[in-house]
Order: sequence, then structure tokens, then C-alpha cells
Amino acid sequence: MRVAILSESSADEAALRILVDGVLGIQTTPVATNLRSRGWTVIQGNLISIAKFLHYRTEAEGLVVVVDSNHTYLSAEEGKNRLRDFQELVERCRRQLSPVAGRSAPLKIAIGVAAPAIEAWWLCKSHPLITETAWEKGLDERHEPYSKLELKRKLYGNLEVFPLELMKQRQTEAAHEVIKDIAILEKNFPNGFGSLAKELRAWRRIN
Amino acid sequence: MITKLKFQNFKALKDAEVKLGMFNVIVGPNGSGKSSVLQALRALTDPNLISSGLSTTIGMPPQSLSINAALKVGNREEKIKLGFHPSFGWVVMREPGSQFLAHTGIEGQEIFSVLNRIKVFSLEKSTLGKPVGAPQIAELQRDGNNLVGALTNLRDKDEEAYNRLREEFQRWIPEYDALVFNNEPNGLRHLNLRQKISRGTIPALQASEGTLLALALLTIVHQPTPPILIGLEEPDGSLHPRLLRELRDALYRLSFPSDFGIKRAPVQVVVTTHSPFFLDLFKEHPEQVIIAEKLADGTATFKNLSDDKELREIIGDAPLGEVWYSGVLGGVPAAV
Repeated sequence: MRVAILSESSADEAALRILVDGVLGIQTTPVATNLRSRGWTVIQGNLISIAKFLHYRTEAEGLVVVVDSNHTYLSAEEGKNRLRDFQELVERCRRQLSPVAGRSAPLKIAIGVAAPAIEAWWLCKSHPLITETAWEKGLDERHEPYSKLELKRKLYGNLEVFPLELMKQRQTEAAHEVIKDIAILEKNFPNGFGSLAKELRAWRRIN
Repeated sequence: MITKLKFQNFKALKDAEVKLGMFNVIVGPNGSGKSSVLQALRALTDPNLISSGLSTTIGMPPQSLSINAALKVGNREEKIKLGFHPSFGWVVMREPGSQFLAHTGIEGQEIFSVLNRIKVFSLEKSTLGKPVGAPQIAELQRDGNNLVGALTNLRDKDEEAYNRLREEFQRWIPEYDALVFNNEPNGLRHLNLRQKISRGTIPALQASEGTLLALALLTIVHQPTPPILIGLEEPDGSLHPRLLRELRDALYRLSFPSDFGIKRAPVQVVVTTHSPFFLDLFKEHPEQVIIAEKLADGTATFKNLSDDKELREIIGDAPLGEVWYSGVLGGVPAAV
């Protein structure tokens, strides 16, 4: 299955593919196009273009997009909810994809939102207190339980700066660990990762 | 006006062509041939720049290199070729038939009158703002050398143009309100910039890279008799992103003078950039955007954004620079 992955950093992509493959239970094939984005606000602006491009111009069957939640909620029923905004954006994308000769199905799109950043997902096995609930409780109480920088230092080491190659390596190692028991990630990040896993499992059923 | 360049075995451009309009912005990854287009334009004015195999595609014999160009000379179309002539070495020839083109014949003179008015700039911080000595040359040099000489020449020869330059410079970089030239006893002429608030001056060499770049770019665009083609290597390099709109308009003024109420022949502009912010400014003009693409075999190719009608629909409302950055347009580094 040809799957394109779009995330906030090139450091995330290899690890995310391991995670996606773990959920799908198959080894996906990357799409030749080297996709990259610069965060949620940019993705909001150009996801439709990227989806159309993949749908009309490539053999990609699926697109997985993962962004950081930063200081936004993923579970809020009312008010700001990045996951819901993202889901609405994806629905708009889907509505704009027309049938194409030679393509058996429209491009599938699955989204994930890491609270507050992707490192939290990779730390889920070793740090059970790092969870979506803990993060959102911190937002409610205006007291972050941990910062994004602290998460990075937990994953990459107590460094001043984080070299890209080191980030890729540690994320990849962590992803291999996480997929051994995806239920932990799904339990600790039920919205941001749970929705992604659910969508990916739906792809598996379709295929 | 150069309407097309076709490359054979010129650096990464093994077999590529690029169509040029009056205004052209070239984007693409490093090593995709953006600078080679500008170097080719320079070589058309000075074929000696093609030397001893340094410019030839790896693995190809030096004499296999050629750069063909289609250009408008007055009302007629001409085709020329920069290539190796067994008798004369690297020269510009007339096509078809690779006829040697003498500078003395009428047609040769006309063609060279176009080629000799191509100016390509690759401005370097280390040269901008340097004092100049006598005898002074009038023009800004390719690397930005002689900025002080070019400015004083403009001031002495065309006060109106110089004042327009000063006013625009103050709009771009408002902290300076005057350019002050000092002649040293040793014959060197220095440029100082006067700070608007303190009224003190600082030597141009101490000004920021962006400030000097802005001054050099404005010197280029305010020339009273500009070249017929100006090439600029990454002019947005050190400018604040908010100045890029001003930069674009200054360059547009060269290419579309009547839109700005200026009576002057249009100047063809070819600009390279890596800035998504700069590219954003050309969303309404896909015909001005050229994507340089590096192929898997290390060679490069070009496509004009406007040639791909479907792509406009794909881009939709998204900012052009972001769509380019995302990889949808191509012209991004390959995945590692």
C-alpha cells in the first residue's frame, strides 16, 4: 500500500511510518514525493492542495498527517479542539476529491494529533504519566505537567540542541518499541492517536 | 529579450530547456540549475567564461557543451548558440547552421547589442559598501563591488533617479535618512549611513548585510539606462520577509514600467530564490514561476508553472510558497 506521511518535521517521518505500518500490519511503500510541512497553521492552509496533488497526480492510496496539539485541547466538546478542526478540514478535503480514471478509490486520509508533541507518543511506554489526559488537565489548571523541551530531553537526552539525525534515530528506536504494544499508546492518547489508529484500521478493512 | 535557453551538457543541465518571459522567478533545490541559468546568461555576453571543462556535465567531453538561446532582436526572432567552434574556440554562433557571428556585421552588431546588455548579479556582503578609489567606474559590479562608485555616479549624473533611490531606501530601511559620501585624503571615497534618530553616521561597512543588500538592489533598479536583462541570484537573501513585497515591486518596475507610470523600455528579469515568502507573491502569476527540478540521475530540468493548468486547481487557495515547500510543485530536495 502506497502511503504518504506528512508531519511537522523530517525527524518524525521514519518513526511515523513504523507506527503506521504497525497499526496496519503491513509494510507500506512511501510515495516518491517528498512531502513536508511547517506546522498546523500551514497544514490548515495547504492540506487540500496536498490531498488533491496526491489524489490526482500520484499513486498514493493513503495520506497520514500528524501534527502537534501544542496548547490546544483534543477532547473538548465545546470551544477550541484541534482534533475536531482537523477532522473538519479532512472532510473538506475528501469532498473535493473526484473520481479519477485508473484510481480504484479516493485517497484515504488519516490524521493524528500528538499532545503536546510527537515525543509524548514515543515516551508512552517508559513514562506512563505522560498522557493526553495529564496534558489537558495541565491546560485546565494553567500549569503544564511537562514542557515540550522536557519531553525532548527525556527522549533525546539532556542536550542543549537536538541534532536531526539523533532525533530520527531515537524516534525510530522508540517507534519500534511502541508498536510492540500499541494498546498503551492508544490508551494514553485516546483522541490524538486513537482517532488515527481507528482510521488506519478502517483502511485495513477496506483493503 | 531572451525567450528560451536550451542547454546541452552544461553542468547539471545535461539536456534541458527553459522558457523565459519578461519576469521570471526560478525556485528549486540546490544543484538544480537555477544558478546555471544565470551563468549561461553571463556566458552569452562573455563566452570565455566557459572554460576547460569546468562547466561541462560530469562525464561529458568539454566541447559537447552548448547553450542555445532564442531572442528577440527588434521585431525579429534570432536563434544563437554558444558553443565550441573549431577555429575560434568558445563563441556565439548564429543558428541554424552554427554560423560564426562577426561583431562587425549588421546582424552581428544587433545581436551583440542585445547580449552585451545582459547583467547578472550575485551580490556578496564582503564587497558591498567597500570604499572606492580613483579612477572610478560607473557601474555596480556583478558581485556588488563598486556600490559606492555606482551611487555617486548616479548622484552626479541623474539627480532625480538618485533622489528616488534615496527615498525608496528610506522606506525600506527607515532607520537611515541619508547617504553621506566622504572623500579621504588617500583618494578613497567612503559611504556612511546617517541614523535618523541619533543623526550620527556609521560607515557602510558596519551596516547590516540586509541594509547593504537593499542599497545595492535599489542601485540596480534605479539605473537610468538599465540593461535589457537583469539576472539576480537570490536577491531576497538577507532581507526581512516583510520587505519582499517591496523588492518584488521594485523588480516589477523594471519589467512592467508602464504599470508604474514609467516611460522606459521593459527590462527582462530573471531571479532565483529559496524563499517561500517571496514565492507567495507570485501566486497570481504562475507564468512568472519556473520550477527547477533535480532528477534522480543528478541532472536537472525546468518547468513553467503556467504550463500545468491542472496544478492551479490543485493549489487552490493555499499560499504558493507553502505549496512549493510541501513538495506538491516539485523543486524540493529529494528525500534522504
